[in-house]
Amino acid sequence: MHCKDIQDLITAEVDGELAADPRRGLQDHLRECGTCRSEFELEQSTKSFLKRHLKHIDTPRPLRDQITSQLAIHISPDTRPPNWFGSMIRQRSPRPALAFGSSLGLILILLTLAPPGSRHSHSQPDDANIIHQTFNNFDRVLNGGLTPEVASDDFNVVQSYLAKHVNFPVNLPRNKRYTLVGGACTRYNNEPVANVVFRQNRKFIYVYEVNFRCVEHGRNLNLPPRALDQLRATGWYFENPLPECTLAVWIVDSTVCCAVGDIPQDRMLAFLKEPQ
Amino acid sequence: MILPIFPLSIQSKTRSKHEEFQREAVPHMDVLYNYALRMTSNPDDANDLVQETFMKAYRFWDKYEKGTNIRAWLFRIMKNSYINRYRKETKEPETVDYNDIQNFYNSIRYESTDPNDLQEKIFGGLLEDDVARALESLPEEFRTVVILCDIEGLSYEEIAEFVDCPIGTVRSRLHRGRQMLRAKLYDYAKKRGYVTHD
Repeated sequence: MHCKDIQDLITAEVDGELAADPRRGLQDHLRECGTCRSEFELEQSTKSFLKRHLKHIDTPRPLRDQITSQLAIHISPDTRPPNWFGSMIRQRSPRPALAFGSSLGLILILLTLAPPGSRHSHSQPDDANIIHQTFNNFDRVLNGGLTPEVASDDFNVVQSYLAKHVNFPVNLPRNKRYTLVGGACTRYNNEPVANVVFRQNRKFIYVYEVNFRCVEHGRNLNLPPRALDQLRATGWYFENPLPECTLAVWIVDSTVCCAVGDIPQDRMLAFLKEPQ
Repeated sequence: MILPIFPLSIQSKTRSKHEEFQREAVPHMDVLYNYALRMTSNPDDANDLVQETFMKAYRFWDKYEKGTNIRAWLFRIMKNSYINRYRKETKEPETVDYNDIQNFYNSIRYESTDPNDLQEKIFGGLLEDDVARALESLPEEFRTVVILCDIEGLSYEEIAEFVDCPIGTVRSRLHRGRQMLRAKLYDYAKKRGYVTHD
């Protein structure tokens, strides 16, 4: 065998891929040829050096979990644009949904007609006040303008999805009377916003969450001074544009959360405080 | 329990697809993660790449031919994602610096017979970071086979299927890849003063 034919055999032998026959030929040659022997030793020591210094690394647990959750989300093959209460509309006769829609319409009309100077207004154009945004987004949730990106009642699934898109810890109130519907991430003035929706039968609670840092400085987002004052004093802030409609603001760690639902204040409080 | 958006449209077919995917594709995450990590040299990019690969694989699961090599199929999806993400513009074909290799051969003496001794002589004292950096510097096609063979321990046959080329090509790329790495490592070791100039 000539040295120029040997190289392939050397590499294959180093990788344990050489059959018995050619191996004998290789060994015979290596005994006689110092150059090829060195070549063999070099390649072998390079491989074992690489093996020792470039270790196989197991997939990190969080990545594994995230992929599992994402697969769970993708279980729905439906390609129609999702909305928050599709399952309700499709499972029930359309009547409750329509009735629900019209009662909501009534609320909206009432709110729109509310006198100026009232503490919020749905007709208010988009501004940086997160209370206005919460009301507006609640409307968008109900009329399909804001669609869920993740639809699941599994807290981990929704949490891990949202956590990937926002710069603050997402806070999901856990209350066994309410089912988590899903979440979506949006942006306002470049600040990431987590949107979460819960429901109990036909009652929805929408939660708006942003990093408190950007509210504190009032640059990209803000809270009215009276809300900030009350938050600092009591940890809570409530608004009731109607007896049957409650907005609540509270802070967990660095996250400011703003929830709105067409429920009275005591039920909103129960939703937020009652442990699972 | 997962509450899907449209429960009525979820049929047992979807559920069995999901189970099948979990059973067949998900166990290969480690090989893909390691390849992604070594190709991107960045855990965040590796995370994204692995996620993208599995989501694509799930979406196109019906395109996977049952009974064929699932790892190779996943690997090709990842390779495409990698190319789309990190090689947006078509580069010039990779060139190899043969001077590096030549220098190495000129400066090393073949007198040692113990491979461990030889390692010490050539790469003595090099850190893991140096080795990772040397691997990063390899042209993609060489880096790929070295990762799959020397880190992941795949057979020539499987690597050939992964990269879609003949076994002979895999073997010669491995040989060349290791040559280049050796030259790089020797260079680093020299710069760090671990080995003395001949």
